[in-house]
Amino acid sequence: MKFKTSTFISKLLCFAVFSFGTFNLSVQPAHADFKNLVPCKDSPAFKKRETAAVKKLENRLKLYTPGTKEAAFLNKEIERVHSRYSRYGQSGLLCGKEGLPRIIASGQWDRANEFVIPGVMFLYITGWIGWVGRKYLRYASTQGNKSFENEIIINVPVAIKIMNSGFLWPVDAWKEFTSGDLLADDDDVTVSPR
Amino acid sequence: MNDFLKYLSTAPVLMTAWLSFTTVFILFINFVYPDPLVFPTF
Repeated sequence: MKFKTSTFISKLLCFAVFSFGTFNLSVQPAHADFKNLVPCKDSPAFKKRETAAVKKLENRLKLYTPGTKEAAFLNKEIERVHSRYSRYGQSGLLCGKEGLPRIIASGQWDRANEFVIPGVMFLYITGWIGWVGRKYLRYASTQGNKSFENEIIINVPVAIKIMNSGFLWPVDAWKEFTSGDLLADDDDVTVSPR
Repeated sequence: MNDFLKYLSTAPVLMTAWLSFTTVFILFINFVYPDPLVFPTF
């Protein structure tokens, strides 16, 4: 494998772009001020939505004799509406003029629980799925004439072992990238004639 | 028994089992902790 600086740089750029969300841990806080938004617990429109939702359920509740299964269900629903609205109010969410909670996705740390943490969790889990899947396919390709069979009939013990070994996938990916194992060599990638 | 295990190990069967597990798991989380909008900070 001949080492080419330009290929390496382009690969590095590719890696940087595709892994931006995963490895970019030093996000500068945007610190935008949300003048158009108010905390949900202070928003009259938010309160109005709660009362409207409860009213709707109470109107339905009137149709049933108290103590029946349906009435109990609707009472439980009313309880859930109250707990949902109080939880949204207490969690410091900001609401728009129409009283709906907004998720602040600017990346600032004081609102990380609204977007950054779930987003990083999503990337981590999807990355884990992709990483262990790739690892299993690479394992299957080493099985000689049984490599296709191993893709269709999964070798479950091996697959579980690989799944459990993939929790540190960002570290593994970085290690493989620096050792040149992560990306295929240009000569191994088929391209259409040009 | 071996043949049955092999059948259970085929990709479609495993996929069905795995996705059923994931579905039930997510449904269960939503049953215990309904209407999540933000990640809970305890």
